[in-house]
Amino acid sequence: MRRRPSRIFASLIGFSLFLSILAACGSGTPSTSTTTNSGPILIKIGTDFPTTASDASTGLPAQDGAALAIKQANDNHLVPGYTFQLVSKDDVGASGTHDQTVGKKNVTDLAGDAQVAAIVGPINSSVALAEIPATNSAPIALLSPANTNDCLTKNTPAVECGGKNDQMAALRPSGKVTYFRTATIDQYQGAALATYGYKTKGYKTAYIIDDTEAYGVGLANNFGIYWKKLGGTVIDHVSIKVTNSYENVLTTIAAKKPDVIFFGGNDSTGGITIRQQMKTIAGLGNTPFMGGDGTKTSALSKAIAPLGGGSVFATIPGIDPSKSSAYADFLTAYTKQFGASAIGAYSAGGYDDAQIVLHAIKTVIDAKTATPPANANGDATAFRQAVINAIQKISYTGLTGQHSFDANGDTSNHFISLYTIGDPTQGDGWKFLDQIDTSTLG
Amino acid sequence: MATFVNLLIVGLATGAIYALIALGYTMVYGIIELINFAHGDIFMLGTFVTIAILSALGVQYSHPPTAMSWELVGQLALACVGSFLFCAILGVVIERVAYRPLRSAPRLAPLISAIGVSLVLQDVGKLWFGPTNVSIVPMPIGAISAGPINIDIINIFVLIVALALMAGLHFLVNFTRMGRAMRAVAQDRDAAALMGVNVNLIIALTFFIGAGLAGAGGFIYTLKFPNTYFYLGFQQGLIAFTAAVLGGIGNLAGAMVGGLLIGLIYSFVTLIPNNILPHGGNAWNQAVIFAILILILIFRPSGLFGQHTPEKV
Repeated sequence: MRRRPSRIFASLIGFSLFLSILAACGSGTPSTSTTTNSGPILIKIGTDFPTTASDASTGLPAQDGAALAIKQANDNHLVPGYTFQLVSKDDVGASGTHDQTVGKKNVTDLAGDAQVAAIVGPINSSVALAEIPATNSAPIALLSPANTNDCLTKNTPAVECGGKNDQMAALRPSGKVTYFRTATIDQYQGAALATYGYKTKGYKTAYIIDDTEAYGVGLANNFGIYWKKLGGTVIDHVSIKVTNSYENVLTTIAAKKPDVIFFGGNDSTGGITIRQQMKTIAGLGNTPFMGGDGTKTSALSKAIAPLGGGSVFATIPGIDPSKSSAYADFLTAYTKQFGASAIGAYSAGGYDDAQIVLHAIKTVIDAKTATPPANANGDATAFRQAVINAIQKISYTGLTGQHSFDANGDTSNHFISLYTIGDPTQGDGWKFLDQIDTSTLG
Repeated sequence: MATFVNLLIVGLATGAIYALIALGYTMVYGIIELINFAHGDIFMLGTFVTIAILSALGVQYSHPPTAMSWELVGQLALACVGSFLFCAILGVVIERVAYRPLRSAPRLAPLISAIGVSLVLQDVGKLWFGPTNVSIVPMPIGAISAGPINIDIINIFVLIVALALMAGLHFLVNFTRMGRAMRAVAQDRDAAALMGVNVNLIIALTFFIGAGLAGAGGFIYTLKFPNTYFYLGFQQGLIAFTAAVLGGIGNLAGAMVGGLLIGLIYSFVTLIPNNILPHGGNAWNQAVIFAILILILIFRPSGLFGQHTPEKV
């Protein structure tokens, strides 16, 4: 009798399933016995940064900074009996820039590995919006050196968050704080840029462009609010998604003769192109250009320095790392590991954030609050929660200043550093101008 | 008024580049009814070839030339010819390798092959110049100022070069033996073959000219725009494709007019103020263009020029 092919197929599947169950049981037994072997226990620290394509100049230095911190922790046996390993992820998507979907998948993958104790990243606030809920429900700590959008940690006026000012329920499904950041938020960054432009440089009229992303819109709005508060005029505010030419909008701006053009966004989402094209538009050749930390990159300074033209100003949300006494040692070690040209705006931030995670892990292990799982399939819940609690209580002084975290997960450090383009062959090509403690601003 | 004139020039110059790319789409569609998705990426490689040639000749971004000289004109001419030839030959190779073996296969097969070629070319670009924006050497060409009106000479130059190339193509297709052969192959491949036309050669020539125009477009792009990157071909290609459809795909005059029209729309949308469209008209330019595309497809599926001229190339 001829059997039906589907039945043969089904029995084949059933048999192979049975075999794989057997195999899984078989492999499970020896793995438990290996954990009893002595030897260093592995703890992984995840990173998620945009490390390739257009964002490489922003994200890769941050990842390198974190890698250096982890290497030093292993070299110095920070926590005896444990070794640390970096698991780095890249959130650049098909279009060549940071991508929310990729970022969310990355942190979900990292959270799925029980040995990952915490995650450092991301750079972009828009990516953080997608990653925070995923890491919060795990829960696993997410610590960013660069996210500055106000709306990530607390309810803020709707104008900054694209009309959504009650995102906390969506961002914190567990109701607890699991996301921290060492970057000073845009509220302060925008205020510092407006203060510098209006008071120090004496500009009165500003034209604002943003890149339609969470970070860019928030920063641009904050700048505009504070600019008007100081008495300045905002001629207009336009939103443009990244494109290869801003010639038409710059042509209309030229007719309005602003004292300064402010750009809320990144070097890769318009910063470089806008400033390059300003040089070719009659009337904008010498107009100053201002942006936030997203434009303070080596890619921007290297592209703009040969062109000349109006001044360029940008910020870092924190203390200039070179003001720190430990910076010289960091720079030597960093240069030795990655080369002199690999330094970026967030090298120190990535380093500090990895240090905070490492110190939180050390606190947990020293106090025996929880023990890390021995393998990738173990139960990480208790250990990860202990790490989150330790980060919340930490007080850490690093390259980017003194950090402790408030009830929302924001840093207590409210310094903003200002830069202009300097010698493109030196470091990231930016020259430190001034720092403003924004907690002193009204 | 001054802003209006300035935007008009910007729009025409931008549109001229779209039109040059659109011609490649429409020529290939006209002759083998294939949407050549790799065409935009050939244009992208054209910008890279131009940068590479100029860089080899000593024109580099770190030391941009400060004044126009005959030497610089010569270097630019060399870059233009180099980019045209590189892309033209690339186009012929792509046709031979990726499309000819599939010529009698179902329609979908060469389309997927075209998408594959597009991805390969993007990766070639990424491998060659890296994944980041590549800055283009700015050319020391001034502007004509008449009161508040400032016209960049580059824009005039771009417009003239593009129109000259388009006029040349129009002449080639309509008034030469080769052009007649191309039109014959477009109308009926088998009948043309029976009349003694070498169909393979004519199709290869179409790819040579279409891809060459994309290469020349890439050169012109580098005169006008400040940077390029490996993904540029996708963005620009999509808009140029829209221009080709707007004008009537398969129709040469349609592609030219469609390109210029889209350039103008792109430019003039900027004039719409914040209080009519939130965030300013410029934020909506893609939405406006694709809305027009949808309307055209609904009410005039053959495009603006689709019905007037039955002859296709």
